[in-house]
Amino acid sequence: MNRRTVWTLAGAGLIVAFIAFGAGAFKSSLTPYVSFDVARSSGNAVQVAGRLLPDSTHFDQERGALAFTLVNEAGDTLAVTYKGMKPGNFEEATQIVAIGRFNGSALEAERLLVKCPSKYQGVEEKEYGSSSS
Amino acid sequence: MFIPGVVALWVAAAALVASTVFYARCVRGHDEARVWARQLYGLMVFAVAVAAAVLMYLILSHDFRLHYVFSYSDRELPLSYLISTFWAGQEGSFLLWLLWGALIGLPLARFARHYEDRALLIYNLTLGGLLLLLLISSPFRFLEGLPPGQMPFDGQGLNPLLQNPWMTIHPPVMFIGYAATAVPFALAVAALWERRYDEWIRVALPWALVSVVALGAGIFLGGYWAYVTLGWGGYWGWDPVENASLVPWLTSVALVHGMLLQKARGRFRKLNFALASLSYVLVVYATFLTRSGVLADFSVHSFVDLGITGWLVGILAAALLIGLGALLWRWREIPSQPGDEPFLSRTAFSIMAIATLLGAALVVSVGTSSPLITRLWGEPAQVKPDFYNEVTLPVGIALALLLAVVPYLHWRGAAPGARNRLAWALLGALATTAVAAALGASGALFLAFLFASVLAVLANTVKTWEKIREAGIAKAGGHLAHVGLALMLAGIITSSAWDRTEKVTLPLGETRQALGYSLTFKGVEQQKPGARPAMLVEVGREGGSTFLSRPRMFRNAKSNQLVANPDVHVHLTHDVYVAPVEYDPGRPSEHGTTVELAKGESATVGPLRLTFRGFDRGGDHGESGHIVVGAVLAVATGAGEGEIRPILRSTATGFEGPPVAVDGVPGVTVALTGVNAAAGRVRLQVNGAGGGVATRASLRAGETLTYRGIPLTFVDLDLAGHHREGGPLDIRAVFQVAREGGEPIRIAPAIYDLGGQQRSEDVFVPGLDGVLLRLARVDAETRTVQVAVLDPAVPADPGRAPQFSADISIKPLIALVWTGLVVLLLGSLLAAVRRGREFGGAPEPAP
Repeated sequence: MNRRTVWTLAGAGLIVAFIAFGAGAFKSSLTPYVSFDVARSSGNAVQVAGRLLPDSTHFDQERGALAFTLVNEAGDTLAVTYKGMKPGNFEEATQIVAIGRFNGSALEAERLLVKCPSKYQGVEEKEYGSSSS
Repeated sequence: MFIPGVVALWVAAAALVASTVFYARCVRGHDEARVWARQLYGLMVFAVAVAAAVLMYLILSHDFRLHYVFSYSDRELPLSYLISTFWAGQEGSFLLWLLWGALIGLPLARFARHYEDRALLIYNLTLGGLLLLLLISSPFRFLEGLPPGQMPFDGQGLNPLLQNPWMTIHPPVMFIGYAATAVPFALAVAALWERRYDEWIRVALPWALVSVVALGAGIFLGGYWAYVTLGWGGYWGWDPVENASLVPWLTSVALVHGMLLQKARGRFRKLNFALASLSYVLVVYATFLTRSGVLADFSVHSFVDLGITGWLVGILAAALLIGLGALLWRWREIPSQPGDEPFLSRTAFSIMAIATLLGAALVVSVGTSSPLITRLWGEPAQVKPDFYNEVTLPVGIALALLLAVVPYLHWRGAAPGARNRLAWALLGALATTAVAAALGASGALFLAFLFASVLAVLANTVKTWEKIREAGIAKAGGHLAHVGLALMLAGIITSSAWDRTEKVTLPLGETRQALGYSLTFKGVEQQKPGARPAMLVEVGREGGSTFLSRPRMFRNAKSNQLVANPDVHVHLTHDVYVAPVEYDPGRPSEHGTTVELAKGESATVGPLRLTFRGFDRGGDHGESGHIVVGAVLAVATGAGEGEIRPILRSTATGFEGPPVAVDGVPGVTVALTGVNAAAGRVRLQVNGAGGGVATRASLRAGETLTYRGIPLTFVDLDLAGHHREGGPLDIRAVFQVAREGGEPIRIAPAIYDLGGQQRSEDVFVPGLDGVLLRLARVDAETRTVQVAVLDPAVPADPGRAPQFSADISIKPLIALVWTGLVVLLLGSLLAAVRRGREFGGAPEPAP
């Protein structure tokens, strides 16, 4: 085996190792979209989506976390806590996606995604009816 | 559709098609067609510029008939932000991209030499893709369903988060980078087509460096914006939109290294063709991911499908087909020779650097595409940000190691004396790592990363210094860029490893300790009416100086969006970062009552009889720079007569009137809350006089509330009366109080409006000692009132002070990230200038 072959093999080995490492990390950090039931029984980080239950939002002073309740289409509810700043447009959101782990009483969200009424839908009829020039 | 704009776009499209056709004729050997092709290209640039000017004019003239203008701007925006609404939305940013691309084509055509015909033909196709998207989803379309001749009075306004100086220049810079990636792509395809595989490198290298600088500057602006305005404490969140700029940057950097390699060694031709195509294809792919709506469920940025998804897929497929197809077509003809450089050579290290950069680009692309990839076998799922941190860590370590060694290498082997110099840098890096470990750093990977990046900083700084002395700063760009990258890597790891965050809740005026700092919430500051309010937090180091931090938290009036901006205090070694989490305005104490008195007037409040004698001009209440007003009041109580002198003083947050206790009646305080010096009147807040709320009731006319055996009958509202200073809202409710063995007595509590704040004037209930009747709310239409009875026997509700919750963090050495990136960009810019000059000065190669 000459030197060139050795380097080629070493390089290929490193690349394969990196791909394997990346694939492993990819699989373990996927957060699938699941139903509330699955979220409650799963010990892994998951992603759930639902609407905000009106008037369920409050700031838990002791734990320093935002607490609210999501409700899904089936009417099932899930308590969520989030230790971060309340996202803008939180109350107006049509859908809230929470990514995190269920701790026995609530989903501890690491991240919140807030879906707002699209700029491109609905606003046109609503907004300019009253104004003209 | 706004006709002039649409016409300009169609003229641009026609000129672009014609220019492409004429360039195709040139390729077939009709040299006379080139003049036409160039003229038509010029016409296309002109038409695109006109379209952009029309859109800008429509924005500046507030033409809200246009969907685009209506959606992103309003009449209140200052000029600079108004201009930036041009690229606030999808269509406008495509138009900006097209404008940059069209302008870049002018120098490209001039300097492309014999590649011009083929390169411009391909380049025109890339512009054609953008123009197509603009024709499908036009920025010039009107609002749907708008009656003819009508225009909305105002637009919806710009997202308040984008109203930031960093964010106004971020997109234009970014799109220069996006547009420039098409140049190496077009030149690579032209070179393959023409079978001249080497000269294109010299033409394309400056453009690849332009991409690196522009995309890098865009990433810097975006990251810094996120850090100072979003308030989650970081600068990089691995959001698809951020990744969409990072991945083309990584491949462009790889391309630059590949081109330098080919220039120096005369090999690696296939690699560069592949890299040039890859960079452009990834830009298109990133556009597809972020603009087609496929990631709508997975990103904080709201993406919507504008009906261009299919077209984007088509453009992506075409770019891939052209780039890859051309390379495969010539694959066997491209000369390639095996090399004989040793492992310790710049050649081998460049290859490893390219592999590492591509590795990073690959994992970031895979992560960003995870919702698409997972869709292949099940429900779409997204990777957590941890994924990126985890997989880019080994990449970062590898990059740092390569960076550390490369200054000691030549293209063909190690530089003379390398071992000696490497030894010194090694000693320095070991010492730094030891100090870090002594300071509490731990973790093998972390220490390895720190060691490698410090080594890289030292080695490259020495090399840059040598190069500057030897050949001048103009030729040291590459080494300087390496210093910058190494600094940045060091900053990223130190700032993330030693980042400490603590959540604190600060009741107004009370001091709390966090992370070695004392924090006091001083109130909400609003410098002018209508200005964005800031939370005023005094931050002090124990035994050190104090400063005021002003994180902002407010509701945008237009979109009702909650906006929270952190405040960052930059120190040499660390940043103090205060991010707002929650503001609770508290609840005012309910037992207080307000009276207004002119000079000489008296009023009875509970057990007190107050008389306003005059303003207190004597005495020295004032600290310098503060306005202080005092009032002299005579107070008569059951225990005797006295005098109190409450004051009102200006503070950083407005005015405050400290409550003054009254002798003889414990628990009762009087505070001065307002002064009208011209009219000689004062407003006083008396607390503790009426006791707490004993009962509440909602009554219609004729209904009766009985409290402690005394019936209170609501007779009717009295709307005729006018409070002295009451303004428009001044309503009395007339109650009849029946007394045993006597005539019923009428009492009339009032409610009135004082400068936007509702005040009530309470009255005593006859027959009950000290019990007050308060009017809380009135509905004049249904003749219903809500009343509260305050009884001194009931403990008063003290209310709750406002409190402010914040995340405070200490970010050590984060300035290294910014300085490193700036140095990296400066180095790349020097390199771009050098390669551009080198190319411009080179003799015309023989055809």
